[in-house]
Amino acid sequence: MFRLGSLTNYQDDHRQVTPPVRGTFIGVFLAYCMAVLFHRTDDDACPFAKDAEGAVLAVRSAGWVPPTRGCYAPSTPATTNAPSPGFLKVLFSLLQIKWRFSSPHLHFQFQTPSFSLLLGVLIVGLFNACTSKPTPFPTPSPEGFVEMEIPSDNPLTYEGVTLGRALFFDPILSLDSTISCASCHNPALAFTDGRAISNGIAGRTGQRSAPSLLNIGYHYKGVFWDGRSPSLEEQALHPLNDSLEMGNHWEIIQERLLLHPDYSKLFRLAFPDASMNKATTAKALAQFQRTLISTDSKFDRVQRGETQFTPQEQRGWTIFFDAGYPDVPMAECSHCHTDPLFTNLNFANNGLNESLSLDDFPDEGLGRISGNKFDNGKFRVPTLRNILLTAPYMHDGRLESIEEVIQHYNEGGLYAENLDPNVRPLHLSDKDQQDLIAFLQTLTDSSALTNPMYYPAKK
Amino acid sequence: MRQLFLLLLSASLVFSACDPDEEEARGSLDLTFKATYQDEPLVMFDQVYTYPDGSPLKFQLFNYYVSDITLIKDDNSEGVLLSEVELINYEEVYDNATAEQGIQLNFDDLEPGVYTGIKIGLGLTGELNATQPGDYAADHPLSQNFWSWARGYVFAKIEARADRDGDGQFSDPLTYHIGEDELFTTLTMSKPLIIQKDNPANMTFSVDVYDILSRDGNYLDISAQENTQDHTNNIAIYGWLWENLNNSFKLNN
Ligand code: HEC
Ligand code: HEC
Repeated sequence: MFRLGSLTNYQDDHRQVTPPVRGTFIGVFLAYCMAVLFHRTDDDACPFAKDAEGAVLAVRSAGWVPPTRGCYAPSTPATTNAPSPGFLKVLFSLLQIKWRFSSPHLHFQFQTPSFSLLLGVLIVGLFNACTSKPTPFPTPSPEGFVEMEIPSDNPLTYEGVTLGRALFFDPILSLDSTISCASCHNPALAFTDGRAISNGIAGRTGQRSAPSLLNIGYHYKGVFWDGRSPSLEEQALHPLNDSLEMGNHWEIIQERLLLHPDYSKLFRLAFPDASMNKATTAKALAQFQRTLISTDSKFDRVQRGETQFTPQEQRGWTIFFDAGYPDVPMAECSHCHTDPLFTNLNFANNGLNESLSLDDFPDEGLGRISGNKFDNGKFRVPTLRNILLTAPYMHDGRLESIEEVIQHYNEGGLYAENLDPNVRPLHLSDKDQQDLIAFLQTLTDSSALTNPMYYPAKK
Repeated sequence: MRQLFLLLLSASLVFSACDPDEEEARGSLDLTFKATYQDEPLVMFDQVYTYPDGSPLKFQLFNYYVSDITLIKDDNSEGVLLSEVELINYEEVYDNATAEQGIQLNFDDLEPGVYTGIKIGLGLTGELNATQPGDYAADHPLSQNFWSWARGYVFAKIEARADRDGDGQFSDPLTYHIGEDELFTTLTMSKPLIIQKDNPANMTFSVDVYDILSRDGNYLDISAQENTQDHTNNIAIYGWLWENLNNSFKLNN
């Protein structure tokens, strides 16, 4: 309001009078320059996603297919350089302003180029601010799954997921630029690394085995084997700083990201209202990980009525779920490995260590976090999806094969006072065990392993 | 200047129009669910109890669903639905103090008035039992305890370890998982209740787990393997336990 008053004075002072038409023209021209400079095209939005092969993924899943749009989809045709509708809108709005402001008592406003410029910049700036809002990415909601909880301050967006995907596969996050998240969470191995204990930078050995990240977005009771991290946003910063994993420091990471030709733009698009910082980096990684979904194993297809188990798989299913058919034993697995996630997200002692005192566990697991001795030796129940691809098994990779796992459970686990009562001698015959393994095999979801969206975008 | 004044005036009118109305007086009610074992507070892990056959016993889990909790009005109208479903879960009750507190549910924003009692469904109504975890958010009570192969929920779980040979190791696991449509029961309990502003009403319920495992001197002989476990396969076990749970469920005050 007071600005307008001072502009009136400006007009009274006839120092820089320019014909109205020229002033407007300059204004519009400058606005155009701004628009070209700052306005985003879909092409800009995805410097990481020019995957040319264009083959639309063979990912099929009645439950949830990662949605494709703009740059996120590997199959999008290249965008042209024609003025975007956004630019036309700016032009149009400026013309409208001119028309309106040409009324006798207002047209003075276009008489100075500096004011036109200001107005142009302002309008384009405002316009840009509005249009560069990230585009919402649909929440994964496969049939039969509980709703994924997404923090209200980190909604999924295409731009955020794109950024997170770039970061996830980028070794510059590690101190010596050799290790990315994907080094230990390899998509081809259901986001594990095939090792008992993960290796970090310079071959340093960690302490536990890398879990699969498929369906990790559903882990609302905390992540890690001991649940010590409450959210994916909080979790992402652990490996970056962990001296046994990526061994890096935020200052170094930030400097590298700033110097990188693409990240400034990716961050701006994903988080227009925030800067490139630890929080936004973590948020982007969390967003990408929430899109890692597996729902298309043979088990799922049988559930959906699209195919059938073989008799052996069917018998294994009965054993796994304790369906209690005559002459088919129960293996008690589904008390803890509950479908559809094949984990109830709880913590349990499944009998890996004999421990006459609760203080004797080599790794206390949940107990170290909760401070409750009855939680010692309890670990998060891991998913069994893609389990045949993720050997070796358990939090420290101590069991090499699925046969060893079944043998472990068949014997009833090793005694500790907090050994879960659902782990007990099962008396499974060799055939029962083979049938059970045949069922576990149906949990392999190859479409999740070949989904191009779960691999780095081609540059 | 006059325009500015008018603008401010109209703005203030707009904003004042948004002021919420005087809040109507509402009341609140606390429901407490206690679990005991031979009248002692039920604690997970940290307490040794005695199984009816004399074996030392330690619990790891006790939970059950209640559904359609409804306050009954004195005018015989429909009543006030307090909650569709709750999981009364003692899994994390690790000490006496917590056990004595019990599991508490608080209901605010209730219509003041005189009520004559409460209805509680033990287990899940047929309608709820026909749903599945996928229908709920991850932290909803019905996001867990689901038997996908039976397409229904486990209404109650008791898990414990016994030490039958008395060697100090609780090597004998007991797991009872109970649930099927036919088991759902509605209990109606009378208690005059005044819901009013600033004076929360309360009701306390209790279940004694010993009374679930034992009735009239009868109990499951856990030296026989088939009696140490039931997943709603053998009605002689799960039916009996469920009936005992129903009988044991009491309104204390
Ligand atoms: C050096 C190997 C290594 C690297 C690099 C690594 N991780 Fe991990 N990750 C692990 C191990 C080992 C665990 C399990 C640790 C534990 O539970 O104590 C884990 C656990 C996780 C979990 C929890 C999984 C669960 O089931 O609870 C998430 C999420 C995760 N990592 C994401 C990431 C992200 C994001 C990055 C990159 C910023 C990353 N990881 C880098 C080895 C690695
Ligand atoms: C009491 C709950 C419980 C029961 C019952 C149970 N598990 Fe587990 N399972 C766990 C826990 C907890 C872990 C992780 C333990 C650890 O690493 O310390 C686990 C780990 C596993 C793993 C290794 C997963 C990995 O990523 O390393 C497999 C495979 C497995 N279980 C299969 C089964 C099968 C098959 C059955 C039935 C025979 C079964 N489980 C029964 C709780 C259970």
